[in-house]
Amino acid sequence: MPIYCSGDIIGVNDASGRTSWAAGQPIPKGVWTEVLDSGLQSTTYSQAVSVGELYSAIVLVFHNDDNVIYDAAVWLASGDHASASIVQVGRVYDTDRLDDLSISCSSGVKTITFGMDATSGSRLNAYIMRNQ
Amino acid sequence: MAIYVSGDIVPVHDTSGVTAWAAGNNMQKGVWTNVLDFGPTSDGSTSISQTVNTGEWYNCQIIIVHNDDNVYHEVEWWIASGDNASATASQISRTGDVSRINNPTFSISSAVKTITFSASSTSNGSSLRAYMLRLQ
Repeated sequence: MPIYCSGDIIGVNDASGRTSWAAGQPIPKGVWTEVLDSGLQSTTYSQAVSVGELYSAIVLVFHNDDNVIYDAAVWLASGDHASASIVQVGRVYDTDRLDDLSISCSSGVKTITFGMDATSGSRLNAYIMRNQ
Repeated sequence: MAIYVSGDIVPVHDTSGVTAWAAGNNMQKGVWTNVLDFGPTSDGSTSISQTVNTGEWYNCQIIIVHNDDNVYHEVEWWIASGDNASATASQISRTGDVSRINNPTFSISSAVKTITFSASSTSNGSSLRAYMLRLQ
């Protein structure tokens, strides 16, 4: 099979199939990237994640407790070099588990704070698809 | 231009542009995959029910489209999560004729999820399509 390239080939997935990305770096565009996996938590949880430079994105957040979805939310984010805003598109299930996202911005780099209420076995996973 | 590869290069699309995947195998992460393309019905049946082994995964997005005689009647967006023994799906939104598509149901064995997609089919020409984007 020939491969024709007009630009660089950038490997976006690691060996496990997840998008390769490290906090603080820009997220590859057009692919869903896991930006937070809280691990198992038992008390209130909050984590700020530097998601790099982005100007628009879709953010999907899952709250899972003992392997059952308790809350899930979809957000849209947008911003410039100095500011950013984020709005919820939809939310389902036990709507009091996930906290609203908060976002701060410095030189285009967005830092998003994810938080949740947690009982034993709770986990928070967040994914971003950067558009721009 | 040099190409440096640290892993396998896996083509995800077939020649038609659909993600290459066969039922019973694990889905690739991060790409939308057509897991069900059923119909159009031609026998006048009043319902559609199809079970699909979607492989091992732990959370995903699901889009389900019901089409009847080339008119879309319903589209739904779901998210799903689970572990080795259970799974749950929650609907994010729905548009169209909201009585056509039934809620997807799951059976699980060792993290492998089998989903049953179903819908009402009021006339010949109904089809049901399901797409999944596996995240984890």
